[in-house]
Amino acid sequence: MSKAAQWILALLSAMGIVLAVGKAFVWGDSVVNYGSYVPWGLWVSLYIFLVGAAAGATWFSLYLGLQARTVQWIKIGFVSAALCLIGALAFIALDLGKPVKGITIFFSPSFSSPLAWASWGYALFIVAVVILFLMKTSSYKSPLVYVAAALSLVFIVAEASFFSGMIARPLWNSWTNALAFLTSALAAGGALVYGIAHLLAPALLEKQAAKLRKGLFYAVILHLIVALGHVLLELEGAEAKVQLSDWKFWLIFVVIGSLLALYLLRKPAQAVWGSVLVLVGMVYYKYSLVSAAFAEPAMKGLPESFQHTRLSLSYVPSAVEWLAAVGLLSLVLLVITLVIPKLTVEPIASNNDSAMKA
Amino acid sequence: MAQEDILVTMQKDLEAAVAKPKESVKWGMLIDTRKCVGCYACTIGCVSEYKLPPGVVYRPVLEEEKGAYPGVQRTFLPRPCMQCENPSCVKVCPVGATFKQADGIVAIDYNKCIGCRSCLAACPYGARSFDTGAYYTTETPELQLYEKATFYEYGQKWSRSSHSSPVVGSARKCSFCTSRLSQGMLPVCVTTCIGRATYFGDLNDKNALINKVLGSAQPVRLKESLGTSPQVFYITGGEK
Repeated sequence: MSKAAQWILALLSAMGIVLAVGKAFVWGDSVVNYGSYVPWGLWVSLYIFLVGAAAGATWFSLYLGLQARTVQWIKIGFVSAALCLIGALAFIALDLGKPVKGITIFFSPSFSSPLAWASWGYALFIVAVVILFLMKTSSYKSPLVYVAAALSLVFIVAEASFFSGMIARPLWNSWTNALAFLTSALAAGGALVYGIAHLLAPALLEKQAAKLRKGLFYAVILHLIVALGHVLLELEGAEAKVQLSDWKFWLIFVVIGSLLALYLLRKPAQAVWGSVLVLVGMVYYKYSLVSAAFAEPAMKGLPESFQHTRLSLSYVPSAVEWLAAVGLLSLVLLVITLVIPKLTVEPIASNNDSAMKA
Repeated sequence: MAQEDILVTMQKDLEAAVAKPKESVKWGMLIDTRKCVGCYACTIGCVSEYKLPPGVVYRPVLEEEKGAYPGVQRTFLPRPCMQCENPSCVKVCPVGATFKQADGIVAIDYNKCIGCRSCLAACPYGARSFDTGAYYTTETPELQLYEKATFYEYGQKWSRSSHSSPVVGSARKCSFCTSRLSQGMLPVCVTTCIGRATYFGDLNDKNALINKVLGSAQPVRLKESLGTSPQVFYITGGEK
């Protein structure tokens, strides 16, 4: 990545950090637009997007690492995943009514909630990745690699069961939604690994590009089928109708993020743009999944019964929500571009692999 | 001979229940929508009792208009927290800040709540609100004292005097007035109900008025198919 691009990312990151600190410690929830009947919005959407991308990046890179018998893919995928998780945790901490108190989830969790399992999954995954690279692991067969991969399953399954277990939200409360969490993770993770490898390890990508493109191609198709199937199966509920009648869902997720992305993924020279479009489409998919779930009142007449902007069903992210989102996503990307090249045992671009030599 | 006001009867029932060990009491509420006149006294009484800020309401009254002129009918449905026997909000709380008390009331520990709003998303009745730390009189010459005044909830004294208050940033909801119950007082929505539409008492006490009325009518519970088993019952139709 060019220095200029890194500087732009750094400036956007600085803006994100300032706004995040402002929201957490100065302005509080006065600068956000979610409320009681739409309790989650843009930040929760980005949180579930990053968690999914982290899980998928882990699986894709493990697959490529095993196929190519190299730890290099694992470095790229696992470190990107850990940094995505840190970004996801930053979004969720920012979203909390008491951001500093969020840490108590690790000290006094209630394991009846899948969210507690997911949180422990994130934390242990990050610890496993840190240990993996502090130990300068050079083998893709390290047991810690498999421990981290298992932890990625723990947190994504916990996340999926948290959302799909919500009886109050008909759009989420189904096995197809749980499945869509897994398929979206696969597609977002594959796209993330492709994009990062293109940016930071083009030589390594060259050897596995066809395999990765093929895997990503099928992951996108699978997720498109599952996501549309999920909404169609839930059409009895008003929330699914809201999601399907949203033109941005069709344009950004279906047309641009899936169909156009699939077209580009078939062309090696433009595949990286395909992976970028998959990520863009996935962000909107998650946003529409979250916002549509709160489109209908829990009870007929509830929003009219006691009027206030925080007790309404209309939600548009505030400027602080948008800018903090752009800033924190830039920060995640910036740190990935700074950290991954430094953490590699061997230069990624060299294609050397100790395991293969052995 | 004049009939005893049901408030007096419920007060006697309450005193008997409070004298029992907490584990043997199961608080419940019955709302006779035929008697509700839509005066909102319960809503306002509750707002006043708990100094509820903008965007927070514990007991809204939902209105429904049915039919066409001249046969129009308006019905009112007060909606407190259902204090579910199988509460979906408790299961999703990642830090155990919301829990079920021995007497069946679903409580929130403001000191533990992290403000993730999972419980808000999980409640099928929309019974929870999020306290964003706002005040009604923020943009007026002076922040009024009543907004920062002390209130009692879950047996403790609270105040929203600053953003560091544990209440600010927490989920909030009706608690059947736990603190009033512990002092032998009926919930504020019960005492303010001018139509005497709200019954309250110990569901384990067969002789309590609430059980007598429940037995004489055909009570319904909201969204029963979800399996949450609410402890708030409604009478909407005729007698049994």
